[in-house]
Amino acid sequence: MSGRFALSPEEQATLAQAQSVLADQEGLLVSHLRGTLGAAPVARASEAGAEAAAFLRFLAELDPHAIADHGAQRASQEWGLPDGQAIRTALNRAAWQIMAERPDEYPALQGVLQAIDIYMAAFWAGLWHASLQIALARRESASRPASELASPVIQVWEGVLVLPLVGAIDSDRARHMTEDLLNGIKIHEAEQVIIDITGVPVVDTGVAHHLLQTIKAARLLGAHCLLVGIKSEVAQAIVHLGIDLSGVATQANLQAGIETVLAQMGLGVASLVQEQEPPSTLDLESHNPAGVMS
Amino acid sequence: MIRIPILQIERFLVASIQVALHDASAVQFKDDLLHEIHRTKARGLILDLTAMDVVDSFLGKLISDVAEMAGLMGTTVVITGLQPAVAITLVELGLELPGVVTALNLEKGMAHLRRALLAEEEAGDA
Repeated sequence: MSGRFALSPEEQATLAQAQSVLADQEGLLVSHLRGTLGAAPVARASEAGAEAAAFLRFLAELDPHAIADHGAQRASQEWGLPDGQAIRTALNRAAWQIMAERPDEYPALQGVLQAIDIYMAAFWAGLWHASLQIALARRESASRPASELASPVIQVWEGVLVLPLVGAIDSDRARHMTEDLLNGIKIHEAEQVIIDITGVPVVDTGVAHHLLQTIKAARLLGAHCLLVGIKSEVAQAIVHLGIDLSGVATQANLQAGIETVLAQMGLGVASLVQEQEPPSTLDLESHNPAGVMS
Repeated sequence: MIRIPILQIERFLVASIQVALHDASAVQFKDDLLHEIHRTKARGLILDLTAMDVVDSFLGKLISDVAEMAGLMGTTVVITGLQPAVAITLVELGLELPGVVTALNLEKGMAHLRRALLAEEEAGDA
């Protein structure tokens, strides 16, 4: 970046000449910038003075790095490509207007156009670089809660946790998952864990390895794991790949899993409503006044 | 050399490891445990590792060995209080302590031993 921005002595001389022409032109630059940036949101137009000052400061100091920093700062204020383009257009227009007014100063005005180009290159670089950084940071912060949400540890009964897994399981996620589960076991003092893999599309040797590691680690904390939600294609894959899940208890689905676990704890689910007597013929007749019997 | 106290509660022994054990101390600890088991005729042994931040392969192997040896002497061994990080490390090292009963904490370990003893006595009565 610094190589691109190193100004040659000739460039510096031309730009210094341009500076002398433009020194008293801040009002003109501001009016052009305000006109062009006015098309952008209001906040941008109100910054026209600051933009004009930044350009004149660049001509005075000839420090492209300061302008790159200025561009980075603008990126943090949500300035984007169209805003940068608007500044460039406005500065060019101002330069052409000065040329039209003072044709005799043409060589120095060439320097103004060159100054605008260098200024914009530095500004773009700062803007782009910072925008990219901001976008990456946002993406990272957006993906983190998603991966945390992807494997929540839910207590469904005292001492019973459910770990519903949705989506692909890579080693990074498996580690997070194991840590979350073990902490959940510790916090909830759980003795039973139901791992539901209904939402896991593919189970290969890697995924099975991660699951087994998780189950073994949970066992070391005294929790017993039950694997549920193995779909037919997953069951086929497990057998075809020769994955040994013989040491792992399994059940068809979450409901069966919860029933099994509760039964092991000496608990069960029962209906609160007493079973109704089967409807008699008398009842049927009262519901069918026409006397139609099915 | 560090000696770890081995306490008797009811018909069980409880030992809590609070410090990192050198290999020599660990071997001494194993000998002490087996000796105490023989002396007290304890039916269960609880090894509490709540205070352990690190369990290396030597100690992992030693725990497995003690469990197997105590099992031969008619004593059930329960490991309690393994920290999540320690559990993950042990599994990654391939030391899954197969054949060792585990429980979350001392209380649950004790409850497990009581249940196991009760079931054994009922089976004996029948």
